[in-house]
Amino acid sequence: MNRSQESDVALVTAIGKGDRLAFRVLYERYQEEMYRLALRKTYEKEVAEEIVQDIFVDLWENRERMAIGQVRHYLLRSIRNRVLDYIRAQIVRQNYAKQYATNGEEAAHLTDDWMALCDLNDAIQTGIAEMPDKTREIFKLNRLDQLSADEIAGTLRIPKRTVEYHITVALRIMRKCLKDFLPLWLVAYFL
Amino acid sequence: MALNATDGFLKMLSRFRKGQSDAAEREAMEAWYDALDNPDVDFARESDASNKVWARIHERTGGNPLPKAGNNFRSFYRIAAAILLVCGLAGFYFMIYKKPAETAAVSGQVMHENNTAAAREVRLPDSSSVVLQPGARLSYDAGFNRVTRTVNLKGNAFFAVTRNEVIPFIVNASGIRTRVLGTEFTISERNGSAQVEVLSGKVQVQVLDQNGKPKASAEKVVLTANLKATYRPGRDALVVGLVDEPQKTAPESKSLLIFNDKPLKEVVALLEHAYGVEIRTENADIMGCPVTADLSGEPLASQLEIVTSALNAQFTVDQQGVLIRGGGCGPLPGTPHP
Repeated sequence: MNRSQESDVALVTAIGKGDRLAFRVLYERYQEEMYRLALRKTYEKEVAEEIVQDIFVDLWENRERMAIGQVRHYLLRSIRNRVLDYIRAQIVRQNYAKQYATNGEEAAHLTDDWMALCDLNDAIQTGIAEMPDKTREIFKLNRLDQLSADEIAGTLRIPKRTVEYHITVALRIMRKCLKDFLPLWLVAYFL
Repeated sequence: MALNATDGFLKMLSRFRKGQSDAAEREAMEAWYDALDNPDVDFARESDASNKVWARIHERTGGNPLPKAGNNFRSFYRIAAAILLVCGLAGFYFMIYKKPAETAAVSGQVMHENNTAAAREVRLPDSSSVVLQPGARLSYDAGFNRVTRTVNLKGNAFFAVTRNEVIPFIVNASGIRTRVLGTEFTISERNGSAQVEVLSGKVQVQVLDQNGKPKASAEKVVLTANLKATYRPGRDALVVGLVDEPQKTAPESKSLLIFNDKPLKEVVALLEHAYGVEIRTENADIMGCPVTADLSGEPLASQLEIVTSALNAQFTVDQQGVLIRGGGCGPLPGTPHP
């Protein structure tokens, strides 16, 4: 029978009881959205696919003890966590390589967390300062006030497309300023 | 100076990952995480990419409770090989002329029956997957995937078929034959009538006679995504319609479904793209008629209803997809819209 219209809650309950069809339906429902989100952050098809794969395997293995209210929220959150883990691993690996390349230059280790936060904040402020006025206004509404593109379009009475354009521009500028905080391969991708 | 902040930054990253950042750190890290976004990334994937990912998930979660079609097949294959060896000792010529391995394989059937109360997934030797609903039974020749990929089904099942252009995948079920190359579809059976619903790809459905051979007189229908064919015994004709809940085959942003004085042509193109269903019109002129409608969040049938009723037209569904009949540009052309 066609189960694709079953609610998320019903699917999760069924998965808890070992229903593989429900598992499949849930996969079909969210895999594309999850894949896209992961790809946008990692830029590697294989990595994005592996992240999606791992999350579903995890979900299945923990099906009996999971208590998931909002399964979509849970899945997208899992993507974020795994993207962060991946990036962290990349940075660690890169550092390791670099450390050996420079024969154990110690200077890098002197910076503490506090400095790191200052540096990151500086970089973010620099990025914001570099934005054109309109872009900055929209970026602030979007990131700091957490307004969606729709809401901003309504508030400023401009087309949503325009809002999205400005957000894209803003992120591009931010990325440039934050390049010290991105793994090298990500930086290389943009230069 | 790149990544000089690394050690401190890694600690921040760890805290952020665990949700232990304070407000200032979280805000900075959120901005950083947003900036990772690459809006220009190319999302295009191969058509079976998500199925391959699923295949790996299935493999990794396969575990013990699942019957593995592959294992049955392999053990059968081992027996067949043993028979071949015996035959080889018995007589070399016999082997050449009779091909006992083939004969042995052909005489064997692999059967999966779901006697449990829950759906059960079966893997076929070609790595297609079949989810059997309770009470469903699937059988196939042990030689499956060598020359043919034919299975017999009783009951209800969902198929995700691995693409193979050379060997079509054929399902015989409740008086109908469904033929595909690689796609996803469901076959269900109720009170003797059978139904095929297509999730993606293209399938061909044909009515069988009592001997299980395709009826010469009966039409073949080809279904694409979101179409279904229903067969009632005693009738040659397959009835084609839209599935109850058409699923979008291409992701579409919701805002794109608001039309303001757009020609029908554009609306049709968008729906065709979103659902993978072909939409034709009887009257070609109607394609230029302006349509103003908000179709966001509606299922395909309602979307078609809204559009056609605005144009005084009707729609029907056949195996080619949707046909919009009659109609014209509406009683109030050029009515100003706010």
